[in-house]
Amino acid sequence: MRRVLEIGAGILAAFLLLTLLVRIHPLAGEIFNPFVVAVLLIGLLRGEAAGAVAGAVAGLVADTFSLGLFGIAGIALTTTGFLAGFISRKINVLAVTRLLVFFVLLAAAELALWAGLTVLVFGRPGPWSGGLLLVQPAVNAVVAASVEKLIRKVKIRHER
Amino acid sequence: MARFLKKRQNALLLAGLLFAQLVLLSLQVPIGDAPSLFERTAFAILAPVQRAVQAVFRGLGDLWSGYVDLRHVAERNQTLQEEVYRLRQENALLREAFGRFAEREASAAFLGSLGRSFVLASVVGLDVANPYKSIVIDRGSAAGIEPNMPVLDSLGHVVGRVVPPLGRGEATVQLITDDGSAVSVLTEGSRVLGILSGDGKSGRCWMKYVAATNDAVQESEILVTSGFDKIFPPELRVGRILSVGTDTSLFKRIGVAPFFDFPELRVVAVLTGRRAGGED
Repeated sequence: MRRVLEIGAGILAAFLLLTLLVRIHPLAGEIFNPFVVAVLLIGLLRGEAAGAVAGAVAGLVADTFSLGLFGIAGIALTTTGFLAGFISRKINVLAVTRLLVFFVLLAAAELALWAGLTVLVFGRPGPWSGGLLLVQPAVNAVVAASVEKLIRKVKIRHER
Repeated sequence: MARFLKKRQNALLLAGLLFAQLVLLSLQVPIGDAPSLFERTAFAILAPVQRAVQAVFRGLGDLWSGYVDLRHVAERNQTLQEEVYRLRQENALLREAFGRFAEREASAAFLGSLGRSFVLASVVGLDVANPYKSIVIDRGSAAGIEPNMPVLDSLGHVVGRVVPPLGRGEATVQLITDDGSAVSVLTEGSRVLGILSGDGKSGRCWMKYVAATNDAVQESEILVTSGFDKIFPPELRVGRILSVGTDTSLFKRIGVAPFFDFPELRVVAVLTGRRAGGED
């Protein structure tokens, strides 16, 4: 039950943050995607099953307010959430540099998967906003790594 | 068997989720624009949440700007007492404000002159993935709004049209800057006919299907709706031609800046067309 609440809270926080950012500037959502950050963190901290479920929910929420088709963002985020949990169990990614590289690669894979599915379904590439989307994996990774370090710090302090 | 399933439960969960989403995706493809029951349900649940979030942020913003304005008023009062030139400045500001007021009066008169009823609505949500594609407004089927109704800004410029999904208290508006939109337009001076479509990413539009041999279209010309699409009434102002170019195709490449101001889009008018007169 606690895990379900954590996933729900994470997705809700990402949704609220994205709504606020897009209200501030329409292109903010192209540079930074809080849904990707939430899914990466849930996958890393709670395992591949939680990551996959969080990805599916986040994708459906993201697609609800888009005129596109349901499922495209969902498939990309589900796969990313699962991989975040699965890979982090196999290799140690806790060091800062490793964590950053890990998140950059996964965020880039999510973007590539989304772009590939868009081409496959619509027969043409999605909106790239003058290449702004290419910055997104790096920004998402930096934010996700910072939040992960913050969570770990708070956890350690709490345990003491 | 149970042991195998337990061992592979995560992989099976992933496969199940991906399969479910692929089914969802494939269910939507053949029906095109019509929203599925799932899509309508999700919209009905999440639209009020987004509306509430916008209301909270707007309320906080108003509170803050109210506080800042109050401080500015106090400062200005003090300055006005001390320096005469401040009075001149304020006079200039008042003239500008009066000009804006007159413009709004004209827009209200314009909307009334269309001879169609309209419903005013506030913008409560944006398409977070593709900002220039659609918006969500706070009036829906309960206010008589139906798909394909034209949406204008406060100055009577074309913003877009209502599209599904449509809730009782919310509606989605496809913007003319969406690459999937199409509006039949005419150039105001030379009366050249074309189809206006958005580029979906920068807030600009293209006027399509004007023959490359047509030299009547000029830069800075104003585009108005033709009415041929049976959605938008004729002679509504849409945008201004930014560039006229040619490429290797049979048609001209005409760039258009829409008149409606995306960042300032807070209140819109939906033309319901149910009765002649003003807002209901």
